[in-house]
Amino acid sequence: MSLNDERFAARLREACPAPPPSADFDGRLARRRRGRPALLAWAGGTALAAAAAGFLLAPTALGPLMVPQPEVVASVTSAGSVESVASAAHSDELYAVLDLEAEDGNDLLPEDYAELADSLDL
Amino acid sequence: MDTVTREAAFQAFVASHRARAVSLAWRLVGGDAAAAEDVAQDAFVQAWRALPGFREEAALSTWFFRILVREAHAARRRGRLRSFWNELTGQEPAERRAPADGGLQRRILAALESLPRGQREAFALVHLEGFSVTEAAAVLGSAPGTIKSHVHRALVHLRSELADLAEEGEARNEPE
Repeated sequence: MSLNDERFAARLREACPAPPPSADFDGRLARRRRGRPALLAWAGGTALAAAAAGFLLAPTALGPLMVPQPEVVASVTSAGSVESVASAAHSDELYAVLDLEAEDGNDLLPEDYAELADSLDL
Repeated sequence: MDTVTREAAFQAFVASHRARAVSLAWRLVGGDAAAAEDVAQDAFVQAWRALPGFREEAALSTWFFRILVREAHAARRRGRLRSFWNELTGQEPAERRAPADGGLQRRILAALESLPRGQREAFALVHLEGFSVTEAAAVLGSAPGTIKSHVHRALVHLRSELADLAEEGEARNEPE
């Protein structure tokens, strides 16, 4: 790499510094390490309860498909932060189920749905 | 590994990798601070679970950043799905925590976003976070030659997209 390339890269780093970790980074991490039950207790169960109740299990040719109700999706997406229990505990599953954008051929397989159902106690 | 030893080892690991993890995640998710923290946290939680199986910190570090890069990619994907869902349902997009400096930072992040995934990840690791080519190759599971190629192509693209910054850097380099 040329000297000009190095200077250019240094200029990018200088002009676009990444933010430091938040002050509560370690505290949040400790709570997450304690696992889902602790996390849920910490943040309260309202959003989670709504999310869990909002999933419907629909039989499809590929296997059981969990379909979140639109208002649940709205509540999760409007939370906007994984500080929310629903986001922390369920958004992965939620958006995985909503895998409408097949990328790199990574469509969900029937076993994925089964795993998601297990994780949501459905 | 007993509980106390494991806890101490993990705390030391977090302390030494926390800043770099959040920084790399921030660059890979397009400058969203909240998403970057989540990505870093998820990667650390996985590291905590895997810690007893690792004898060398270096091996855990490489593995950790590999997980982090994967989590960042998944976060980007979720973000796209979220936008897609919002469009479908006519909802306003959730507020995105963009950098405070809306001008230059935004341009740089947009230029990074326009890179193909392989180039973006290689460039961020090597040039923005200071990984060696060998380390980046281990993290990304690619050959060092592939990383060099990605980095070179990324530089060509970014110098074109951010020509004013490139010229500024060259002007600093000229003798007075």
